Amino acid sequence: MRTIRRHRLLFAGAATIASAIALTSCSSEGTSAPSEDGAISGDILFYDTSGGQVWEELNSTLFADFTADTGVTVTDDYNEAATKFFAASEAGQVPWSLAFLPTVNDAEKAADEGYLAKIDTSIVPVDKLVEGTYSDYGIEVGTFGMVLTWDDEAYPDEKPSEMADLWDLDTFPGKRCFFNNPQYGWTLEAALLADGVAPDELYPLDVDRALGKLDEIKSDITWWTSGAQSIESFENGSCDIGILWANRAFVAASENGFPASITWNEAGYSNSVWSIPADAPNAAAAQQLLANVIENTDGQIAFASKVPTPIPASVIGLEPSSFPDDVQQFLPIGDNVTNSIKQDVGYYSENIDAVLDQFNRWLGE
Amino acid sequence: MTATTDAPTPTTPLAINAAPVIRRRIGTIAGRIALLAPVVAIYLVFFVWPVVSVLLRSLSPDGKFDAAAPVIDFSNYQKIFIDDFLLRIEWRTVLLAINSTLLTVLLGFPTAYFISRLSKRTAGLLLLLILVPFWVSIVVRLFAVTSILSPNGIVNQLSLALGFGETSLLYTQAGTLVGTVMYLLPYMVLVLYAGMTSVDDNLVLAARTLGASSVRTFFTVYLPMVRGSLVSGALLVFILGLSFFLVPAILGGPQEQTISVYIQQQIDVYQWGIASAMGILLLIATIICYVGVVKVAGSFQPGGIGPSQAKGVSTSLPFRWSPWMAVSAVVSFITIAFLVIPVLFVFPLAVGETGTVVFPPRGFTLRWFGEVFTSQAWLGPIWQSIIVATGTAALSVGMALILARVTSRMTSTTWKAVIGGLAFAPIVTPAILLAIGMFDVQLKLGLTGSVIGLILAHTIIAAPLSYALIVAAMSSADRGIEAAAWTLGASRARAFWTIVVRGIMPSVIGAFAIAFVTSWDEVVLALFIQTGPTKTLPVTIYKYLESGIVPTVPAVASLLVLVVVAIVVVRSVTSRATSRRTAQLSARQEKP
Amino acid sequence: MTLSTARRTRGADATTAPGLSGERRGEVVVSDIGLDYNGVPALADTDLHVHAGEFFTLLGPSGSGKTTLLRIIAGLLDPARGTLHIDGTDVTRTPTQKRDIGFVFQNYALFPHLTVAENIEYGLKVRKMPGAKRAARVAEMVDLVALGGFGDRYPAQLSGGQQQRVALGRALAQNPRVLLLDEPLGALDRGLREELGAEVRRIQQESNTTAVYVTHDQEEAFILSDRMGVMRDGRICQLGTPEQLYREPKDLFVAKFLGKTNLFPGSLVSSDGSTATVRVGDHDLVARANPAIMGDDVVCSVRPEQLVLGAAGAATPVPAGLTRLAGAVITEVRFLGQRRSIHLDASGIACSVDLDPAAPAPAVGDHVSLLVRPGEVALVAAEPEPKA
Repeated sequence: MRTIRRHRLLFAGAATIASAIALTSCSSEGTSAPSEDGAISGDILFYDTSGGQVWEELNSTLFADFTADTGVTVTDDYNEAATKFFAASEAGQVPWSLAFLPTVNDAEKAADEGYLAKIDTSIVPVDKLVEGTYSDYGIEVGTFGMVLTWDDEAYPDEKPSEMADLWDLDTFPGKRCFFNNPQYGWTLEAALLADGVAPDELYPLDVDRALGKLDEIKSDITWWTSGAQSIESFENGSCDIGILWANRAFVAASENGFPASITWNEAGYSNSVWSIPADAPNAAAAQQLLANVIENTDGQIAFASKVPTPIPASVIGLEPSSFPDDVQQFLPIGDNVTNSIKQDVGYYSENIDAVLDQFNRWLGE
Repeated sequence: MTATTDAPTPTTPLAINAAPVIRRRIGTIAGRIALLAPVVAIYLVFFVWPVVSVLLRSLSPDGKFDAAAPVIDFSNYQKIFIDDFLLRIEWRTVLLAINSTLLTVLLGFPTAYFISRLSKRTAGLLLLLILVPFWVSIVVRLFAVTSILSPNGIVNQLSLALGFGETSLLYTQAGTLVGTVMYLLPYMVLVLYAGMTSVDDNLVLAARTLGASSVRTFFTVYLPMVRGSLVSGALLVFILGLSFFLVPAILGGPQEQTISVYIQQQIDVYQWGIASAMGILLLIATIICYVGVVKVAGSFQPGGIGPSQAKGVSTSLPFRWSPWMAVSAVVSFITIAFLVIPVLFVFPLAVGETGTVVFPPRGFTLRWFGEVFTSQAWLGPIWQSIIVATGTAALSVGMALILARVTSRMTSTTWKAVIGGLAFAPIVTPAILLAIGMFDVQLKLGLTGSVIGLILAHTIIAAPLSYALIVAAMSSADRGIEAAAWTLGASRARAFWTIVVRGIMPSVIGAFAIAFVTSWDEVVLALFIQTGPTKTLPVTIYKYLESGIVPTVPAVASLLVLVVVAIVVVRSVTSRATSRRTAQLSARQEKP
Repeated sequence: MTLSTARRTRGADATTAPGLSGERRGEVVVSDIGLDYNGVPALADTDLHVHAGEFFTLLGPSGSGKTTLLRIIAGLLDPARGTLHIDGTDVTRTPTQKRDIGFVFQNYALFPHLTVAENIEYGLKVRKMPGAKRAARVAEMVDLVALGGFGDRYPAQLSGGQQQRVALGRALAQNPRVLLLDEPLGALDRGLREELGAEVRRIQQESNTTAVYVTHDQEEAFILSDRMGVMRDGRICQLGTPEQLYREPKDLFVAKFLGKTNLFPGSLVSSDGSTATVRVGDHDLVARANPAIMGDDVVCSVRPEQLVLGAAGAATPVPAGLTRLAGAVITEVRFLGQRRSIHLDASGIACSVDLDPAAPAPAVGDHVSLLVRPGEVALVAAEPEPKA
């Protein structure tokens, strides 16, 4: 409040209500430029599209270490999708210094529009990352594996092993769980794999064929709409088998004691991106944060032990064996993913609008 | 019935006789404009501009309006009326709104009737029970409903136990309907209750003395008397049902997608053009319904919302059991159970030991409650909600007082109707449309993420409700008393505050409360325009629903329920004490 | 004088009343009817016999139970005890709509969504009267209540007096046996009240209906009633014609409630059935005996118009037929048009006398004697502490 008053005095004549508010919203962010000796300070507002447990664990591992080292705090701002990031960037009203963009194509799109700042390689040691998991505008994080998951108690004898088992209603009865978003749900890919398409011939997707295959089991599908809902659906009996994110399956298995089993066979995996907005108010601190996270191997292990989506996605030298036993099978790295398929981000970048539209129409019928 | 004097020709109502004096004193048109200016400014910036902004976006194929090179293009609208898929979504939306309105009326009418016949105190308690859900975020209630309707939930378990077979309603049309009705029912009951308690009991008695049977009395006298409230309530509920997006988003499967869910999806993939066009379509549909209702019912009377309208029951028609009353009682019981059970359901959900919420809960722990009080993750949002709701309530009451002051002194009925209609426009504007427009405008003004920005946004939807309460009280208040204060030497401002406002204090408090609750439970606008670390409580809860619900969510909800229950208990104790005191007083005097 | 209803059997009424009265009908017999509100008796066990064709008024202050009794007769309230007969039929448990009554509410309770004609027509429609007959009856009623030309108006477009007439017309249209009126003139101003009161009486007479009328206004009661009952604290204290009640009040309450009166406390010296001797101050006075008096403490009630002023002093002769009541000093003299009102102080008792305005006016401060005709002194029992 005192700030408002001071500014009011400074700009007495021109101070409208709107500008006063704008000023308070700026001052409340606690931003600051690096001081003369290059030290960083203030706060990083984090545009977070993951939220929930991911944020909680970040806050108690990697970010906590960063704050301990530099004194810079990180504040969470959860948003469902990247929409607001784009809208705010377009309007030149960016309060965030670090953005968690859900897909690589989001990051590419943002970079093309000029909404992202370049990674300062003089600060951020990108050479420690596996080639292909970083770009000029961001580092890939939180690989999410989309794996075949089932309730072990529902199928005591024979266990599912491939996507085709989702279509085998006799051996594996019960409702199927799929994400209502095809890209993050591996839905179309799973259908094509089950229909006999070879993994290396998946892209470009034959959407018609995939939907035709899905038609066979459409009435047996329960659609989940958020990661939280996916495990709830298993736990409240809405489904017995389906495609889940591996980290959610891990939560169900480890924390809730739910008998969830997974297989990485024919699973898909994809990355998200951490980027620094072009107009980031505390960009220097954000660059330092990226560097700090990449170098903090212990922090990475501590984080992934709770949430098996490693951040960064792939650091050179980090293997599943570096992690605790119980989390190893859920990690989308190393041997786990030899029989898995990396999602073709380029395909989705170009075709997402058409694929989504066709999929939603099919879904809404 | 207006009090009138007898004269050979039809006479003018007494009230007008006092008006010329007052009109002269109230001041010039210029004064009135000065009083209205801030209200109009807020209204233009935060209501008209957002709607216009959405309209402009809808006229551009890519959803971006460029002021430098304006394009007017109707391709988005063409799509709306040609595309089979969109037509199906539109039809489904209308069908859901119609069905939920019908069901809401079927449940709400007997409930409101039953409550309106009870003694004032019992009625007050039942109304509080119906209002309790208002205080518990709709997001939390819907989450509880997902637990209740899921295959492991009580509905299915009960159905299996009773031999009705599998009845999993989750992600079905029926489930969506249940959720929508749960959301709408309190509005319907309150509007109807207000209408019913203002019916003169003597009219019903008069019909009986004229020989009419109960059924005949109901259809020829009672129903025409409450028709205005019924139609207004149905309209309100229909409009809310048409544009509400949380219920289909949380309870509905992909097959239950409605226009508002579609709008949100399109915005997530940056299809602003079609999303805006859909929003405008909703707005037009709403306006058509509104105009239709005004034609049928004479006026739109949503003013019943809020406790201060509860006039209490005249003792001239004592409560008497009859078959109709018994049916009403049963329906009331169903209604209240329907509204309260999901609220109570948060308690078992809050005590499980598992890290995510599951039902039935596994184990028992109270640690989630402790976490609520120790974690900034919850204290921040609670505080934020209190600040925003209080600010909204204060601003809404201020705007409502100014607006009511001006309109209640107006003599031109046309202008009165115009101002009244415009004042109500934000309530009947689909929230999702307002949200995307508001987001646009606040981004341009640099208000997104600020508390004041959110307060202004909430005020736009809360002020009409406050206005409805205050204008009703102010126009029924005796104008003479203000003039009396002037004759005693009070300044105009003093007379207004100490006499007029004090005189309608219960309505002012009611207006404050309704605005507070509106803001407290508002999700859609808050979801869109809030950025920054601290969000309001319902948005925080929604965020957890999306990203992984932790048991602190039902724990917070349980605590809110407990607070409301505490208020109810305190109220009923104090009102019992008050009624005992008044009973003693009136016993000492003579009976009325 | 009040008929002893208890002695007349109801069976006899049932057979004789309709036969005897020809067109007259609507005899109401209330027997031992009582009702409690939250344990407090709103109506003590009450007997009442209203004759067919009679205009009967229940008069009393608010809260005296008169509306309660009226609503019980209408069936709008259920009595806790007792029975109610209309024309010899037990209707105690008959619902309102089957009682064949007309009711005029204090606030008229006109249906705001119906026009004047439709309001009047309502009861006829309920009775399924054929259209042509119904229209004729509505026209007849509109004429009867003098509302020609207003048939298409809505109640909100009418003045209070017009609304009142609609209410009356509506209640009468169905030709009810009994017309029940609950302070129907209470909301009107004085001039209109008198005018409409006369009209109510005329319409009741013309329509040959029994009327039970509730009011707290004694002037209305005097103008309208054949007989009336004064109610207090849930019971009827006295029944009779207006004149009987005015001249021979049974108790202090009735004496004070009906019109102005002067009250002189005294003690009973002797009583022989028709006359009684009372000592008021230094004077012995002969008055009509009142069988309701139990003790010796009595109050003499003398109406202002019955008092005569005489010369002061106990020794001065008193004109024939008059008795000296007390000595007094004049405190105020007022000219009121039809009368001259004199206020006096009779040894601490404030009293007033009405004089013919043509007679010479006394002056303030004059000492006078208060004289009265013995037959005009009403004797009532003293009450411990009269209520406000």
